[in-house]
Amino acid sequence: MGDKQLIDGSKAIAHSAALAGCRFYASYPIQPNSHLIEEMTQELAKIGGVTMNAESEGEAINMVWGAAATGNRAMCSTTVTGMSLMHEAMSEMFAAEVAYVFVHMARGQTEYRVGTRGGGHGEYRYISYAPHTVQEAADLTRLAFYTADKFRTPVMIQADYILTHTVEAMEFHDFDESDLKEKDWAIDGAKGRVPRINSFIRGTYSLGDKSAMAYGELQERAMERIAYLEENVPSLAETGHLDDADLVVISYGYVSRFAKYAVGLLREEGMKIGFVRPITMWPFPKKEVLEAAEKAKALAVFELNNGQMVDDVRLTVLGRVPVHFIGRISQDDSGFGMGKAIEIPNLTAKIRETYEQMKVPA
Amino acid sequence: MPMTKEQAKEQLKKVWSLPKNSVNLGTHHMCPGCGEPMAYRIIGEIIEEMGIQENLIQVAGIGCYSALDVMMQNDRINALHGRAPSVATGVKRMLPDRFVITIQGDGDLVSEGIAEAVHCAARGENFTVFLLNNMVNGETGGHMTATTMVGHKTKSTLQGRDAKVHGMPIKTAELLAQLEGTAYSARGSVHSPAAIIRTKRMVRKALHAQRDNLGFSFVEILTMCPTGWFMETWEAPQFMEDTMTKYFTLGEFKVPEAVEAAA
Repeated sequence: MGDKQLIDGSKAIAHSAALAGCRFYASYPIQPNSHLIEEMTQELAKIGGVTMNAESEGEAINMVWGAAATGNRAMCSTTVTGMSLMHEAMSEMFAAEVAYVFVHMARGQTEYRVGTRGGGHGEYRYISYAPHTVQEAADLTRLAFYTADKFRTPVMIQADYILTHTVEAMEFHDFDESDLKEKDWAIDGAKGRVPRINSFIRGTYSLGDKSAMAYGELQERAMERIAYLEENVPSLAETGHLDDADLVVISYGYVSRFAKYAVGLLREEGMKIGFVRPITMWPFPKKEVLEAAEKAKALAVFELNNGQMVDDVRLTVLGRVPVHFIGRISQDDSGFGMGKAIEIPNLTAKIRETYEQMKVPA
Repeated sequence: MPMTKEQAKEQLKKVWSLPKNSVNLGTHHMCPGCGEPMAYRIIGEIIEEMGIQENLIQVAGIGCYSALDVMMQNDRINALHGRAPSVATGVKRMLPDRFVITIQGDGDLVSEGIAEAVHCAARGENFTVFLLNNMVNGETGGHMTATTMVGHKTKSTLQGRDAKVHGMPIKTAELLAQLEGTAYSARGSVHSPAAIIRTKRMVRKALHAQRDNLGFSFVEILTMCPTGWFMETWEAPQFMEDTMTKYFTLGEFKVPEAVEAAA
């Protein structure tokens, strides 16, 4: 550790998972997720972990349920259609309080909602981190495993096509997990204790426990758990130039690097533009976005979809300032969602247009 | 000279007693005449006999039997409908020295989750799958499953299953026996004392196969569902003897030599 390395996003996530003590990983090949499968296979083999190239997405996520329920650290990943297929289990794994890490290796950003609100049934939310560099992908993977265990809940990493294949200099850091408690919920055979049950119907409880939740109570408890997570999981964001910005650009993930660069170019021209980059997609970094809204005249959300994060920004600022959407669905021919919208001339033109319109008195 | 009470006791050989540790024989909420508690008891008795109840994880599917959750005295995960073999794969791969079993119905394993079962068998996952086959989705209110026999009435086939419309039922034990990863595959039943004794042997062999790391083991157990079959409770076992076991033949379809020798 501590040595600079030149590696890509998938390798960084895979090695970080191994450093975190991930013992089990299952997935089904689908691009751009497949590279992570290759890296995880190699990394877990080194530490005696298990990688399953499952026969379907549904099998992969259910295998992860079984592995994680035993108290071992486990990880899963997929994208697009795989997200839909896995959500049958993912929704219930929140109810069953299964701690695991999920890497959403997205094609572009058209699945912001899937990554923050899910695509399954019932009430559940994931803690969700969106790295924008290979370094951050490695760091957030460690944080994700820690947070999953600490709150006994699923944690998602929002990566994408560019991040998985981008090679950058980075280093692996130590991570202090000494405050984590023993897993007194692990299903590992009832040796010398009362049998435990892990169930999406009643949560995890000891056999014969009269105080164990009934189905309805578990459903109601989802509400409390979501509120608790929203309150207690630290939300993270990177901000820039909020002190003088009239317009603040909000963007997340790898794409935010293009937005940040464009903001830099426009500031050189003297435009008062700032930026906010949510690192936790959920809980959404309300504090930073509100800070931006207090000083700026408007916010502009740049994302490669039809304005999905705009919902979260508007729900945060509650009409204090106008929230403009300056992104778009932007597909390249490969279908991995990295079209022309991220090209700097297009991006600067869009921000400039919003900035200038904003200056026109109403 | 007549024997004293103590002398008589000494001469009595104990041939059977209620399983104390692995199975809770308290009340359950199954319909009268249901065969599922009997299948649970058979499995529990073998677990007790092998003394592995503290070294075993059960992955339960979704069906009427899910409500038998207090009957088995071991660690358990309640899996989603049809997904138990995948969950069991994750458990067994993490804890290879524990016994892992799934208990699933025909709606669960055959209708919804046959792919999971087939792939687990093909991979030779070293755990045991128990299929409780009663030819009906009992918990949903009695609808057709992938094992409902042709001509059999269910709530969604009131005129009887029509092969032209619904196709043919799946013989799961025979299907899984064909896969190279399968070590043991058999079909038993709970409709008569003789069938129960035979089924117990199958359950024992399956768990012995797992103990000896031989690969995937599978026992299909036919259970009666008089409610779902529109029958009186006493008619169901006879129906199984006369009709159901003629289609779903009882017996072993794959037995490894090592298991046979041990039995």
